[in-house]
Amino acid sequence: MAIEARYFDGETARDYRVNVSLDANGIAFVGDGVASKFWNLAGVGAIDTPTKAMPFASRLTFTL
Amino acid sequence: MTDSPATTGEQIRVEYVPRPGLGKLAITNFLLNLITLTVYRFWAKTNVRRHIWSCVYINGQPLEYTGHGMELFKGALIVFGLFLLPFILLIAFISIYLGPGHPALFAVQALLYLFVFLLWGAALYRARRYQLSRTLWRGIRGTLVGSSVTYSLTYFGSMMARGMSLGWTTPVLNTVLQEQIIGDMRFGDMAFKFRGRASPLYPTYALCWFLTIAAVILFSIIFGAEIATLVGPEVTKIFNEIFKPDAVPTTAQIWTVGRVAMVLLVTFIALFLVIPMLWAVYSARELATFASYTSAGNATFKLNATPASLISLVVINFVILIFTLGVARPFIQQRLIRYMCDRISVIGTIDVDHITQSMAYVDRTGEGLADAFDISVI
Repeated sequence: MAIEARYFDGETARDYRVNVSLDANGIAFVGDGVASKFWNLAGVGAIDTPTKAMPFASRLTFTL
Repeated sequence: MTDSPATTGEQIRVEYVPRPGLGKLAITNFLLNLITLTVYRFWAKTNVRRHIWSCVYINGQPLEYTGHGMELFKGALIVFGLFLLPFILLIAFISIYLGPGHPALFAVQALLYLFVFLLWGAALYRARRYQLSRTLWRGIRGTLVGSSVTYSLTYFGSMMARGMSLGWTTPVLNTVLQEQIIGDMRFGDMAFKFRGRASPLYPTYALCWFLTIAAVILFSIIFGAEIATLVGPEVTKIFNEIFKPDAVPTTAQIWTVGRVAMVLLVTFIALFLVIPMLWAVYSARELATFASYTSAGNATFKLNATPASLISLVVINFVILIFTLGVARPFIQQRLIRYMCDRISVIGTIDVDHITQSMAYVDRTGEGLADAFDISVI
């Protein structure tokens, strides 16, 4: 199952719309202007706790 | 057809969306500060910033604070080791070997004060730079690209000039300082600009200045009248008698002196409340004017700061501080940020998509001087 999310690449402030899917190993996403990427779950962390305004899933950070 | 520069980019909308958890954070911070004798304050400050930053939404995306308590702790240790410790050791050495009344002690203390005044501006500048470098929006961080030394010297000069001119250079100097710090401010590669003159601030400044003098004169008259009514002309005689070296004051004399002291205290408190309220008129004008002088991309800023709103903000914050004994300080900080978010509007557009990441060097430590001087607002 894929969900829509927003992705910021850390190089520009452009707001990318991506489709994200989660499996047992990590998060895969692809979107307009974003080549297919895969983040291993080991490097993924939540930026903050979930709220109604900002659900957990859309506030993730990835460390290489 | 291509868009003209004025229409390229996004309209910017700033809002503060509170989230739960600040109360729990305030209590945890208070307890851990108590247990660790305030050493925890660096981590407490970081947690509060992380919370408050995450409530500030710009075009639907929250700010992210990426600072760490350890960075602040290291910054404070460096300042303590390089700046405060040498002075403490020198003062202790002089007191022990030359005596507590030795002129060298006063010279060292004077030097310490001079250093503090000289570095005050640097502390402000470096703290702002640290905060900006740890603030992300859409993954892009901010910074200040100028020199903290230059800013500090300007700040020191402005403090001297302010004193020598009885405050009359304040609008000019505040404008110069604001121009320097905003001109150095970047979000990614986007520069902020500050352009404007101090002259529109002067009518309001003059009004506040003369009203302050009038308030001091008025309160002095009220104080004198109250003393005359309560105690009468005997007051000078009583004071002369009880301050004689071998005087044994009577109960009536002590009672009279107590009443005079109480009236003086009440008058001072009243003056202490009235004068900041008068100056809120100028502060509101200055905040709104400086916002209108600031621009980024094709956008300018507008801040709806009014004297009444500023007074209400400060008075309620003061009440919160007093009645919670400082425990609710994070709420005060939240109210300050919220005030700005609720009242700022951005006119025009910013080409956000083309803002690229800042290449400025990111300090590994931060805010040591600001912590030493206790001047960090948040």
